[in-house]
Amino acid sequence: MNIDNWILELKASLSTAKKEILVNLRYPLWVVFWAIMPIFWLAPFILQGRALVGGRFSESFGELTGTKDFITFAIIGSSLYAYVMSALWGTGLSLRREQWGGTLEMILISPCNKFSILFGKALSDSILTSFYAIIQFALASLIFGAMVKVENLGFAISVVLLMILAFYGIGFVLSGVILMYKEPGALLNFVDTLIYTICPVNYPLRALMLFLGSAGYYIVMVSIFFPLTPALEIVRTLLLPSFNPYLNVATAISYLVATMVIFLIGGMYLFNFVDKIIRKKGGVEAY
Amino acid sequence: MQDYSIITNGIRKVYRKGEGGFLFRKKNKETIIALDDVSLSIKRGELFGLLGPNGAGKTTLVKILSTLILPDAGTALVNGYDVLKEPGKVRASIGVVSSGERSLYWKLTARENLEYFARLYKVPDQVAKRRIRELLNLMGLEDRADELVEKYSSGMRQKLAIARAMLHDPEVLLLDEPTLGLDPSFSKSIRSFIREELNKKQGKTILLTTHYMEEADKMCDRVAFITKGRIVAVDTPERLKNMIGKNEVLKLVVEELRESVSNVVKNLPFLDDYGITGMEQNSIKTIRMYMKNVDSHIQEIVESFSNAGCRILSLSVEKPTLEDVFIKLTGEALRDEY
Amino acid sequence: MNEGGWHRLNDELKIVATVMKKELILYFRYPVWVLFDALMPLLWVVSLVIYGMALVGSPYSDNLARLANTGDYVSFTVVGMVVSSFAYSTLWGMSYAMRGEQWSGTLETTFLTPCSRFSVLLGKAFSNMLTTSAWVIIQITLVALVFGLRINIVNLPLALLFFLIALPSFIGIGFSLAGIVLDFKEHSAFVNFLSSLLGLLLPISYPLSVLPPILRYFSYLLPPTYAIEGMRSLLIMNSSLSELTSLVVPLIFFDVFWLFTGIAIFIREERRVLKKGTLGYY
Repeated sequence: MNIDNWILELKASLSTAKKEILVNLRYPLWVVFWAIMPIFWLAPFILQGRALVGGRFSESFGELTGTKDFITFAIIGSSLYAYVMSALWGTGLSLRREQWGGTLEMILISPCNKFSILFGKALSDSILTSFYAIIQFALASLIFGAMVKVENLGFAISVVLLMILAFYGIGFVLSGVILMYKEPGALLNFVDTLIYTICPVNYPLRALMLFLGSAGYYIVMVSIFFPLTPALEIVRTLLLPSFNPYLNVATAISYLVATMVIFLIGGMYLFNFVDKIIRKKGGVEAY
Repeated sequence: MQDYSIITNGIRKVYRKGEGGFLFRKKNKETIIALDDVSLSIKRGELFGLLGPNGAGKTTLVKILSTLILPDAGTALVNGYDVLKEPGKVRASIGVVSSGERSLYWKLTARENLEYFARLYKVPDQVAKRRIRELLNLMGLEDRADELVEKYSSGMRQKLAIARAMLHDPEVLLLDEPTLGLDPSFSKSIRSFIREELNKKQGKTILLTTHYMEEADKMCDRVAFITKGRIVAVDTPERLKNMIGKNEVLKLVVEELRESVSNVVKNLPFLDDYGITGMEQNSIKTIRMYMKNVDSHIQEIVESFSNAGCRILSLSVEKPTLEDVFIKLTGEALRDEY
Repeated sequence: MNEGGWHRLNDELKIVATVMKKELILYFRYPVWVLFDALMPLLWVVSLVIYGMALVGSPYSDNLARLANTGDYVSFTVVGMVVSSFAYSTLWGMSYAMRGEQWSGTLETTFLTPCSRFSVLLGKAFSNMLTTSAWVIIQITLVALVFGLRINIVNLPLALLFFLIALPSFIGIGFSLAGIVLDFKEHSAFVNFLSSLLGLLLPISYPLSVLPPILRYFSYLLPPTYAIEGMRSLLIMNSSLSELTSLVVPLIFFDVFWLFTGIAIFIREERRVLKKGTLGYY
């Protein structure tokens, strides 16, 4: 493949991202919804914490994580979780949305690489999600207060970027698999809840191991292979004063990089596989 | 070889029915043969019509040629490229217009739609800019190019869909029922645009599928009849119509009350041929009778049917059409009529 | 009620039962969904309980004891989750089912039949409650086994009675929502928004006293709030009769109010949609 062609593919990808963002902005109600809603999902956890410990610091939490401030812990967790939701409900559903709209076939018969299109879609999702995540972080800090080491913010953001790339792989697989499901909502809801439960979004990995016994141990072993988990460990180490991670930073980074490569390559491979099944079964309309 | 833009050889596609995703596949062995041993050769610069009723397999063939469906058997070359081995080159050579107006982004403007697809078709930016301007002009959409497509009429959307298919100046156009659902006067202008501008002036090879016989008759250089996944005849409209001979057609719609209409028709010695269509469970039949000197036989025909207890609902004398040939060859009507 | 009235009622009850049966059959035709439905509330309870454990280090919170008469937050949260899942299944069940029928194209045919629309809606609501009950029982058993539950079994019949008092208001709200989605095409955004809002306002995993006062007023406008508090008092707190009365009286008021409002909204929306001719659209 020559360099000119790479540039054309890249342009197709960027155009896809631009188109997605344009279309998104033409549904202003949804933009407001995604900007505001996450705070409604986070608030119950913070209120529950306040009811149980009567403040923002928990001794028990401190013993498990090194930091007693469970509120900042949860704010970081839910801000990063936004990217999981975007991989599931954004990129995962993106081809399905084209199918509903009737445009799926038209983009699949263009000569540009399918992954240029998928990458563009994922890119637009992560741009929009970053916008929402920043709003969420800001709103949450304003309402509940967050205490972070601001000097490490740059490093933390680069870790988040690695995680986002890993999630692109998940988005690719799902976008293919979902074309075969009549009602993908139930599947996505389940995967969403499952990830939320096994990853350290609101509680640390050590809590899973402590309170679920050996089952908890196995859950943690699965969880660390999901990019969100090592990413949260690193970001919290960077941002929370005196945070004591379950995975040390070097291990977490190697897990994150490894899962990123595996998820991306695996995601592309699986997407191709599903694509072939669909075209054998009788085309993208016959679901 | 270079004289043909599309060659298919023994294409076969079977759909397995049964819903369900891949986790819980139902054990339902019901199959539908969508295409059965389809072999066609379409010449460069030709406007080729694929005529057949709904569900005959036309769309499946177009989708196989546009790499959206993999055939179970057979090969297909588009612009010299194999759809299985070089799908990327095939896609770069074709422009596709489908029926239905949902193939565009309604929340984008016409210009935004074209700009986006130009990028997907890897048209260099400078060329794309000029091309989009030309196409909007050609389609008469330049005044409303910056309006959202959701505000367009269905005719305008179809024009835009054609413009989109022309963006990368493809060798081959695949038009799948391009006038379906459009109002008659607009259909007419789209048809003449396809024939005069796209085919004659710009020299595109066009495969057009349709179930309107006028469309196939008036526009196409050659027509293939397709029914139940099989090609039953391929020729120019003129030569196909000659299969009926120099006959005239008497079209009769009757309600079958006592005797079967086929018994009545069999006893008319002066008929060269006939075709009967109509639903099985319905007593209303359409009979097309081919003969010379219709005028001298009308009286006798009407009497025979009346005597057999048939109620005559309408009667007309027509020139033979492609539909007559189609009915003669397949025993099937293109559209459900009574 | 005269003889004809009884006959009519009997017929409508049969329709409720028929709709329930149909909905249940359809539900179990999608085994994957059933599995997801069964597992999801369980995952939610587990994550709420583990979060609590991480915060206080034991199944008992002194602070909660100060706020809510009980420190046993595992039982506290489980009761909250159970009652709210019943509330949700009644509230959304009907509108989701309507939506489903619009999707599959069967809504118009259903509405062509001479039976009362409300019988159809009730059938849908009850079938939902039945499946929810099944998952809730699994949920409670597993949590009891893993984390331990201390529930006052003696009061269970009273608690059920209490729930029955709350039920008409849920059904009334369900009617209203079903009416609204008939014509409101952005259904998923609407449901998502409302259920997220309820997730914050209902005292599921915390007592109302930790909510900012302004939000608390909104909580007291929601019948499920009273249902959760009442069931909790009966099942884990052994509250006094006067406390219960203070919950029952507003519930009865809500029952009357929401049933009438729900029926009125549904009838009005149906008429509107029939006028516009968009009943079958989605």
